[in-house]
Amino acid sequence: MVANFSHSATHSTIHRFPAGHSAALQSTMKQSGRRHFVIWMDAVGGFLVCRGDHVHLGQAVPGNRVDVPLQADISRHHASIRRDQEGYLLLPNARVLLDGQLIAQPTTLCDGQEIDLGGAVKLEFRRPHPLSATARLTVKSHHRLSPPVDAVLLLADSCVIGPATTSHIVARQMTSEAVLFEQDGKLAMRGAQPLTIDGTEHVQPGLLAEQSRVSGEDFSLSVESL
Amino acid sequence: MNPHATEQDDRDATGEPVVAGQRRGEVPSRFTYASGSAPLPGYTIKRGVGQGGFGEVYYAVSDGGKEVALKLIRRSLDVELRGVVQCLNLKHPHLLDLYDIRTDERDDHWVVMEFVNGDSLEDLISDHPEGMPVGEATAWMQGIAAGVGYLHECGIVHRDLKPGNIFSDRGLVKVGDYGLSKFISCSRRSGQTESVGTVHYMAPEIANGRYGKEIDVYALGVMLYEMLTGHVPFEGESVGEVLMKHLTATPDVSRLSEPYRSIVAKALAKDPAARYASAAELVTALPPVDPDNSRVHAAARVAARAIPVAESVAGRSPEVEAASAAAASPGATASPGATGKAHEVAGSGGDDGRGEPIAEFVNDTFSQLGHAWNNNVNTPAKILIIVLGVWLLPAISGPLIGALVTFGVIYLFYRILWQIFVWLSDGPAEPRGPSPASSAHVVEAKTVADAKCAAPVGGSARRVHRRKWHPPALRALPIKSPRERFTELLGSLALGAVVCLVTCLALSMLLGKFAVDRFAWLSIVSIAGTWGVLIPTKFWEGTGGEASLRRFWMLVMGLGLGAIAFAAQEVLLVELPHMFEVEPFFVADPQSSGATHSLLSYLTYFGFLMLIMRWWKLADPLRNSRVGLWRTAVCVTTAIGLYLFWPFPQDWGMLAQPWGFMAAAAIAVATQLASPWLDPQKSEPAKSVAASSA
Repeated sequence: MVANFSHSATHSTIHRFPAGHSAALQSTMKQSGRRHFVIWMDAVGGFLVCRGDHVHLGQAVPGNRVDVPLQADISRHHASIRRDQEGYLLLPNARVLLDGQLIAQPTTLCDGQEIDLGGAVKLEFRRPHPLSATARLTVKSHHRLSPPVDAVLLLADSCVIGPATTSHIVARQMTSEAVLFEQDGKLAMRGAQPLTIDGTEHVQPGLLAEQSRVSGEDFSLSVESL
Repeated sequence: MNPHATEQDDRDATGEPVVAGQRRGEVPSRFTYASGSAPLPGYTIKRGVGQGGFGEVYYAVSDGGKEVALKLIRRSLDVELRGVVQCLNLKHPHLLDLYDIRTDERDDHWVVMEFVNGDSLEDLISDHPEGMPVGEATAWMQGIAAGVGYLHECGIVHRDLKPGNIFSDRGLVKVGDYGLSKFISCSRRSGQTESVGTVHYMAPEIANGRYGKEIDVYALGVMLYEMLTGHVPFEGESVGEVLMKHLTATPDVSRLSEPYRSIVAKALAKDPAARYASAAELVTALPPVDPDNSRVHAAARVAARAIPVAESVAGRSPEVEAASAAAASPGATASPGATGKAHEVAGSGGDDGRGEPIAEFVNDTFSQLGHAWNNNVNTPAKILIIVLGVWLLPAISGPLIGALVTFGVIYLFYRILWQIFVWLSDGPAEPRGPSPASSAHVVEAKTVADAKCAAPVGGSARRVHRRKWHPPALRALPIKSPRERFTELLGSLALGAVVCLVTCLALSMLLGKFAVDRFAWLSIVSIAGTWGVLIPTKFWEGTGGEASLRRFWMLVMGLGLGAIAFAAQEVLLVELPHMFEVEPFFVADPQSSGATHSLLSYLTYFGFLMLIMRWWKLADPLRNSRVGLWRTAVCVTTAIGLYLFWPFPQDWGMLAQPWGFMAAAAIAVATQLASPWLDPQKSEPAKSVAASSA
């Protein structure tokens, strides 16, 4: 199910590491160098969408370029989540509990499990859609993400936006689904009903720019690259 | 600026008032401004949040990085803008903060306000289609009512209370959208015919253009119903149908259990005058909930701090008092005026009313003396003072009692006249609020704090007085296993016996012209009495049991003690001489003396001694100080009083004082010294209790 997209060199960001970090980690982070973006969906919420198969979770401090920055008393690189053909793996770098159990080794993540970082940050891991490998992380404790979004999406292939609870972004007011996906390393969207992307109506899937405004019959959202 | 923001073109299409509001599942209208646009200089819009009757709400970030909610007011009538301006500086923990009102280049007005990134009550209700737990609903109601009550105090009617306007910010209930509410004023009650608010929460009198604060109480009733059942009471296909039901139909409250059924029915009364007079009154009617069990909570401590400000702004009323009591102690059932009737706690012994100057002076003096006793006198000095007191008291008790009785009678007459005077000037039975000038209020607070009764902040002091074994204090007591208790009890019994022996020795040297047999008798009686208090109180420790039941057991102990005292006298053949020339007031026929009555007299004397006093207080680990002057004095005085008022001939052995109250004094001192005591300066639990009551 995992889409096989070529790595886009133009969009890669340079990650800085603290001294002594392993070379293996550096290589995996380079892979995740595709730019993340934020979906601001009107009347629903904000979502940080992480691209790439390996995302790092850590403290939100200036200069710490981590994929999922949390305003919390945790390590700068506290843990990471890696996706492969089998599913998701949680790799602890510091004190991490999964469903209350302290883990020291990479551990498989299952739908509905609770990740606890440093005994304070509680994240809910969901993989709601049966046909998509995309996962969602929701902060259950009172910690804030930076940028201030409601959830993090770990984009594998596609992101379903719709009224059903199996959607990655649940929008109760919608009557049909819309899907955001990657096409040749670029973002695209299609909907069951025609979409207006940046003022142009699309019946077929349409590509998104760095900053795009998408609206359908019953929703509107903006995509903002970071 | 985002080039993709849709601009002016579709504004008229969304400019209509959304009369029916946004029910779940309805399609929201388009938002005018897209993410990235900055119609208001200094703020960048991130996304639309929602739409209400007055315009769109956006989530935006200021240039400095502050997250705010921006509300675009399209239909900015002067009246409404004035309303927002009036609310701009209101501060209440349960109200969404308003920061500013700004005008953009197009002369549109924007309200800059606090952004709450939490669930709205609407979200929560849709998560519980069959109704949410009662405790949760009550916690929400308490928060909403506190915020709405504050608005009402400031003369503002919300007019648009609905679950979509109420949020949970990290568990703290926040009422929003009040800036566009309307003033309570007679002239404006029928000033505007336009319907605002969501039709499901609209009181029937709105049809007549009446916008009193009763409509908010009605909306609270609708929300309570909706929280408990998952449905609004009046549903319909169209706005007209729902409105008609509000006007004519009786809500089906059969789905609710009592007391919620009658509360909702009263809040939803068609006649505004038949509803609860205030939001606080409605909440007071709700059964109290355990705040720990709900995800949201009323800001009890925050509110308690905020309300004095509110009172100084708005003046006080009985409802306000009830609201503050309700907000401050969610667990307590507060009633209007409960805070005002707190005088019973003042002074340990007196039943004098607060506000009466003589009683105040006496209370004050006793309180200061008690404070000095607890803090400035060490234990050996205390024992010395007690012993001296016991020695001196019989000598002066005759004139003293005469003086006290005379003063008491004079005071009684004075008090009656004073009370009549107060009633004539104030009106009878009016619950007096604690006036800042009243020194007795300060005394009272100090007494409560001294007693280490952890009163809930702002809670009724009367309750504290009734139940000195206050639950927080009890919880603070270390939990002991039965084994630990037993060990502790054995230690107490041994220590109590030693203290008894020492005290009896001192007393019989001072008073009784020391003789071994008298000393032995006194020691046996004192030790038996001390053990008789210590053993049952050990069982009661940490519980708040009924006083009457305890008194019964103490009576049983007293009878046993009487029997022991009699037996000891018979066996030891002690002569207990009459030492002082103080005679009982009511001396029965001296001819009727006889040995057959002697046992009876012992039983009666000790039985009453144990029954009258609350001896278990002396063994309370949360008592003020280890040895209390007041408590000891009360014990000894009671013993003397029993003798003075008890119609027995004086030649009945030990009843000839001072032997009876020497035993009482020894029991009181030994019990206090031997039973465990939590020093508030040293022990953590007691300290925390004292701190929370301060």
